[in-house]
Amino acid sequence: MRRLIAATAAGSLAVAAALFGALPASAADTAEVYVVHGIPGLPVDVYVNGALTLDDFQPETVAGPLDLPAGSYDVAITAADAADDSAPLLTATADLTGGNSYTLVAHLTADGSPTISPYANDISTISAGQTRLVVRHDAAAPAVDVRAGGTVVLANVTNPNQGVLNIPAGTVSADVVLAGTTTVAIGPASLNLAEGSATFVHAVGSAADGTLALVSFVIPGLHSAPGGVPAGNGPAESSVPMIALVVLLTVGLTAAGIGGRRLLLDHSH
Amino acid sequence: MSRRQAATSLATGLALIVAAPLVWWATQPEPAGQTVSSVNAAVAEELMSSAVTSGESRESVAGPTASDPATGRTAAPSDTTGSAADIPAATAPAAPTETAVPAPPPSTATAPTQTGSAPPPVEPAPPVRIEVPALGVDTTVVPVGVDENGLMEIPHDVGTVGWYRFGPAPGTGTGSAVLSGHVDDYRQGVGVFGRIGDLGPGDVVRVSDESGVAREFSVVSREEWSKGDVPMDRLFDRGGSSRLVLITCGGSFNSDTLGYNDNIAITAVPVGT
Repeated sequence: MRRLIAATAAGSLAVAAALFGALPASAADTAEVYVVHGIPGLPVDVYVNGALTLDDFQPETVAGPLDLPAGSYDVAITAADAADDSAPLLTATADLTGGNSYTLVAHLTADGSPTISPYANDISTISAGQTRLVVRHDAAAPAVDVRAGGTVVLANVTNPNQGVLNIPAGTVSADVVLAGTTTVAIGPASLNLAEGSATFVHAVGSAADGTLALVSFVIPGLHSAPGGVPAGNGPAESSVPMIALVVLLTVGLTAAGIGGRRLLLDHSH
Repeated sequence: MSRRQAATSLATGLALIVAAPLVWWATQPEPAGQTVSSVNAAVAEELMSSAVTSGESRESVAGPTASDPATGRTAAPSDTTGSAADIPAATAPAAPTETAVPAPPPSTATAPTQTGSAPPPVEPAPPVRIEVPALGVDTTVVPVGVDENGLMEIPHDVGTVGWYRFGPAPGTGTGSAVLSGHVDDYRQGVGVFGRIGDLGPGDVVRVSDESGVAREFSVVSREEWSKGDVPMDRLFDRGGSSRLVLITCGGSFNSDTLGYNDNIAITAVPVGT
C-alpha cells in the first residue's frame, strides 16, 4: 500500500454555488453535504469541528447527506483505528453557504497523493423528460473521456475536475477511456438515469495499482412539469362542404341558365 | 318550355346559387373543443404539495438525523461497479459530547433494507386501460413522455390515452397521475377525450393497470384555462394527495396556430378518500 504522507489540504468551498440551484426555502440556513471516500484500501474516521461524524467510513462508499447549518467547518480525516483526531491524515476547511448542496471527496490526486476536493452539486431544476449526469475525475489517472453508448460525451476531464450533462432520461451504458483513445479505464457500467434526478459519478482509485472504480449517488426531486399539453389538432377535414358547394352551384347555374336563356329568347322575338 | 317553366327554373337556379355558400358554411365540421364552467377549483388546489404552493421545485431534503441511517436517497445507479452506497451511521457535529469510542460497525446492508423500517409501499403498475362510464369511454392507456419541444407527448391515435410516465402511476400514494388524449384531430375526428368537459363531481373514472388491478376515482373538480394560464406545476405535481388528472384541449380553435386556445382538466381522487 502506498505510504501516506500526512497532508493538509486547505479546501475552501467558497464556490459560486449560486449557479447550482438551491435547497428549498425552508432549508435556506442549512447546507447539505455528501462525503465520498475514494482512497482505496483505507477505512477512515471523519471528524467535523472536532466531533466524530463518520465512523469506520469504508472506501468506495458515500455518506450523507449531512444537514449542517451554514458556516465554516474544520474537517479532519484519520485512520479508522485512530483514538482521536490529534494526528489527522488530511484536513480541510469547508465554508458552507445556506441553501446549497456540496460533496467532499477524499481521493488521490493525479500523481497519487491523498487529498480532499470540494464540489458544489448542481441541484438546479431539470427540464421535463431530462436527467443530469455529473462525472468527477477523482482518480490517480491521466485525463479521460467519458463515453455514453460508446460516444464521447465529456472530453479530456482531468483530476479533480467534473463534467455536467443534461440529457434525456434513460439507461446509459457508460465507460471511461483514456482521453483521445478507446482504451477503457473503467466500465462499462449500466447507469439508470432517472428523469428529474441528478446522478453524481466519481471515478476514484489508482490506475497504477489497478484499483479504479466508480462511486455514485443520486439526488432526486429536481424535476419540472412539461411546458404544455397540446391535446387537439382541430376539426376533421371533410369533403362534404366542397361537394355540396360544387353540386349546388352547378345545378343552380344550369337551372338559371336554362330558364334565363328561354326568357331572353322569348323576349327577343 | 313555357315562360312559366322558364321563370321557375331561373328562380330555382338563383336560389340554389345563393344557398350554395350557406350550405358550404353550415356543413363545415365543428371543432370538438368544449368551453366549460369551472367547478371546485379550490378543491383541486388543496390537493397539491407544499412544494408547489411555495414555488419550490424539490422534495424535502431532510437528511439523516443523529441516529438515523440514510435511506433511499443515496442509492447508487443500478449495476454501477463497486458502488454499493453503504451509509455509515452519521452523527451530527453539533453533539460535541460524542466520545472517541468507535460506534458499532455500520450495517453492510444496502440502503433500502434498514432493520426495523417498514418496507416501502408497492408502486402500482403502469396503467393500460381507462373507463369513463358517464361518457361511454373504454380504451387503452399507453405511457408517454415529453416531445422535442418540452411538451407532454399525446398519442397520435385519438382513440388512445397517454399516461405521463415520469409522474406517478394512478393509485400511487402521493402525487398527480396525468392522463391526456386529443380532443380531436383534423384527420381522425373527435377523440375519446372529446367530452371530458362534461364530467362533474361524483363521476367515476376507472383505471386498470398492467397487473390487472382496477382502481376507481371520483371526480372532484373541473377547470379550464387559456393555455398561458395553466397551472402546470400543480397538474404535474409529484407530491401532495394521490389524484388523477385528465387533460385535453378546449375553448376556441385557432386556425392560425392550428391549435386550441385552452386546456380543460378534470381532477379525481381515489374512491374512499
